Amino acid sequence: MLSDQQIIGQVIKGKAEMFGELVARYQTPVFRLAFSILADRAEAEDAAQEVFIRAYSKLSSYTDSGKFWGWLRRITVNICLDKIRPYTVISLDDVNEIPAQSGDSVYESVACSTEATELRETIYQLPPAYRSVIVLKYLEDMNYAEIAEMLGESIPNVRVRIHRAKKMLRERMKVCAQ
Amino acid sequence: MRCEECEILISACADDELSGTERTEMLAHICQCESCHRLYEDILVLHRNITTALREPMETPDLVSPVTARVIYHSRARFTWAWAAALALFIVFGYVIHKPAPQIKPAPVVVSTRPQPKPVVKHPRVLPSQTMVATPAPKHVTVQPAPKRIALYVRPPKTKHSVRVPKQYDIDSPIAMDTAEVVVEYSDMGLAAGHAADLSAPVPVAGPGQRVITTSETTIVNGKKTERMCYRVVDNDDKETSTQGETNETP
Ligand SMILES: [Zn+2]
Repeated sequence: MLSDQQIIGQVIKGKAEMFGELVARYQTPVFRLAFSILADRAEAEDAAQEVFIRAYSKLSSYTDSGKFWGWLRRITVNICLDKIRPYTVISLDDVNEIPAQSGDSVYESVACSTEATELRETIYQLPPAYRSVIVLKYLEDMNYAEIAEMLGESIPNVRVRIHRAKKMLRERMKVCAQ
Repeated sequence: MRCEECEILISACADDELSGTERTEMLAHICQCESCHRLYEDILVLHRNITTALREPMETPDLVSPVTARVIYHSRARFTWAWAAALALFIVFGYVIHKPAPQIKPAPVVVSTRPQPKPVVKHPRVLPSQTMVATPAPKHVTVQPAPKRIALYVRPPKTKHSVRVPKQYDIDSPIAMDTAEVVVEYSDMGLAAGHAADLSAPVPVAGPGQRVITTSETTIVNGKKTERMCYRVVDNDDKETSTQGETNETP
């Protein structure tokens, strides 16, 4: 089986059809990450396509051998953040204020079939700014410094936002359990 | 330490993001505070659950077919443009080789009573006995593709979005070729949903002692914009270029 680097080399030489092999390898993590950040299937599918098209366009500038997923992940996060950007501006001043829940209907709509599915649905109901840090931390296993760098924020800000997101999750899960 | 401060440290501790001092302070607090101790245990469980929840199996749509189709369409468009550029070069070379010899107009006769200063001829380019004119050899220049422009996201309005702005991407891989002039025409196509267009055009790069004269002409017919670019490589001391009209000169 060809390595990512070998496939990239062939695509750059003109074998555009080989790019499909890279898409097949990475479509699941790209879609999962996009869906987890955007919490909307159609939007995530759209974003995932955009990720691969942008990756193809910039393939000749890719030099990070052996870390293709890291490069692709950054493109994915950037594209998804562009879509949720208007909602992500949160300052540390309102650190002790938990955003108001968007209505009881949210909790009624949560299907409590299994605990994991229920929790995942609750994560998707979080405001985008909180959901994105939770996803980068627990799905992508990135540390605070990496998240801060990717989002262009300070580490203390990321730390507080993750804390607040967890607090919201705990409260919402309690509501659902009642 | 207040409980609110400790809560933030508890969260960071579960993520293994505490310094030694912070950890000591946090442990000291939860040993005395029952509610923070309970929170600490809850958070550890929540941490595991979030990871499990986000990594649950998920149905992934097929992205291979649509992405590959777009990528192949895109690369074919690029191939077509390369052929168009080659054809343009062929025509230009044909013109250069069969170009008629320049005619010299006799200087106007000036009648004056006073003696005139002798005119200074800076570029005696035309030989006095002009029976045959040798066509100058084409200059060796390097041609780079222009920034590749891809308009991908023009699509029918949805409920949330209307129309997305086409994005631009740059690719630079120089191609060496012999030419003195390149003429390229390309159109701003009206794109259908999900279609991609590659509007790449070669741009000559001047060699040492040379410069590139760029002229462009934009026409709009039935709402479709067509831009005609003309690049000419000339020597820096070539005065002929000053006869150009509105030109953008690239050193
Ligand atoms: Zn406490």
